[in-house]
Amino acid sequence: MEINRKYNIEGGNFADAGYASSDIRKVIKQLGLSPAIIKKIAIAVYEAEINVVAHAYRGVMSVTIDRDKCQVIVDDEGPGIPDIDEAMKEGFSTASEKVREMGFGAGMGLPNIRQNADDLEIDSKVDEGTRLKITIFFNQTRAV
Amino acid sequence: MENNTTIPLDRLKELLDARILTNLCPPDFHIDHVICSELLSDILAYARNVENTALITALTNTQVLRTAEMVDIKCIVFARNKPIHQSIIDIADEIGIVLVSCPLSIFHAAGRIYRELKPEGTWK
Repeated sequence: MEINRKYNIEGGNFADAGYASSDIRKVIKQLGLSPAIIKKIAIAVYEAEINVVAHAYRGVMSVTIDRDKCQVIVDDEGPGIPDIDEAMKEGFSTASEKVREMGFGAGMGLPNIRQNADDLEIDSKVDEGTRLKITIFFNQTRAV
Repeated sequence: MENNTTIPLDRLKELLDARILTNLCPPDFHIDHVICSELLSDILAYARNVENTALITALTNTQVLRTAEMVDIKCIVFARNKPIHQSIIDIADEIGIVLVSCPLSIFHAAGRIYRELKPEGTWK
């Protein structure tokens, strides 16, 4: 069994932000996974989607689900992350005032993804974009 | 809040002088936990291990709904009767989150629920 989904994400479009994550959550709920795993995937994917909307011009989220894991690759075109170590620190944020008014921008996005992912890879080039690769295994019991 | 009891939808409506905005009224609906927050990332970070939870907030955008969806929050209480766009109510009905609007401040709404869930004498 392998399920593949692909979603286009538009930078700055907060009205539609979360649609992709909502759809992915619906798909994984149908697989009979534990609520804890569903929540881990939903939170990681949603934070990644919001990151694109909040910081990038556009992005593509590709999701592959097989019998062992959910793997999500998010490629965005945008300003990139100059210092990934800094961006991974809780509280560090470059979000705009508009994004903060929406309730985001507290510098929790990437740390939250790392907290929920079993594996997280980040590649970024300044003024080009960022790639996140998030993997969550279904049989892991790591507490979050 | 730790739970001593649970609050069904009718009682929640009565407690908060509230209006139910969504059509959805699951027969087994009840809450036994409350989160008050304006910071969506905080909810995503700290609301992972809760069930039957209501979120009390003054945020009225689509993202408060999506955030609630991701962490399985069952109900959103909008404080001070903030106007809610119909598109948000429609999404809530679709994804199964009960929306409630009340005239109280976040502080007073949370206080009334706290008093119901944690009767006097059990306060810590």
